[in-house]
Amino acid sequence: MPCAEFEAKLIDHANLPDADRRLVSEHVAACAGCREYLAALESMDRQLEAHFSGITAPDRLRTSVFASAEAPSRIPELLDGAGWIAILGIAVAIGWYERLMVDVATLAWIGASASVVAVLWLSLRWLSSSESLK
Amino acid sequence: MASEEEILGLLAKERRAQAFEMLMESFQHKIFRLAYSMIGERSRAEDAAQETLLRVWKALPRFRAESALSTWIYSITRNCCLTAIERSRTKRSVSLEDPGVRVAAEAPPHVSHAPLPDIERMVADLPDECRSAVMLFYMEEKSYEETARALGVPLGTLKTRLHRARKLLAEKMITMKKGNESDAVRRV
Repeated sequence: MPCAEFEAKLIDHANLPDADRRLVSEHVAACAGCREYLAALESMDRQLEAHFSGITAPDRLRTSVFASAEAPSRIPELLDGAGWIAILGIAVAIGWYERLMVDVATLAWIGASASVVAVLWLSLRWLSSSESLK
Repeated sequence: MASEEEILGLLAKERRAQAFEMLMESFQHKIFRLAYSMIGERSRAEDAAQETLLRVWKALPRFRAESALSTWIYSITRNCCLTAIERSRTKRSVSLEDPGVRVAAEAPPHVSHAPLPDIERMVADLPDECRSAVMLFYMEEKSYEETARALGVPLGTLKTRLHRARKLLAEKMITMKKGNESDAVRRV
């Protein structure tokens, strides 16, 4: 086993500052326990590198992802858009009502027409921008 | 390989399929490596990587670039892996309740599987956090920054985990070497 005061330095041997590395090298030259420990660490480093370096995803990962992917949902965007249009519509309607003192039935017609236009616009936008990976 | 800026540029133009193609090119191996390091088994890591990429594709319209793309993707990967680990633990504990399964589970290990190389077996026996740190560090060509970013931990935490993993592995190697030497002496 390594000497207690050198154990941490031996484990991080590769990243030690030059001064510490020299100190460790001098100690290791004279201490069999630390020499054995350092040899085990270096052998472990080589084996880990040989075993895990260069690992990549298998080719079939790409194929299976593209085979399973569906177009992402556009519902959140539609709800976002509809919400903003409704807010704008209500603001405009209130403004008009106060300025022109239009009767409620006319306002309802304006609101309904605006809603139909908004829904048509959002549907068109959704259809035109839908994407699929397939 | 595409940069994050290129992928974000395509997303801004709503060209999601093309952005995803580039994202897949840039991140599929990193996602797989992170999943392999967390799960410790290639076939289950592949399933988790597939699940991650499908979740990324579905969530792309909601990505708002509040964090780096890689941070977002690694966080989805870690969540998928944790779910997969949890699922397999639950499955194992439930199936062990069955007496028939318990008998099979108590049979000697590695009977039907090819034996793992020594280093892989030693790494597999490390505590989870040390195992994922050491595996990913070597898979990511010993980059401390990339490994810490993927695992979502500060650099200091990663270094502590690697230090502990190296210490445990070195001790195991010495014990194993001494065991082999005494076996050889006994045979002579």
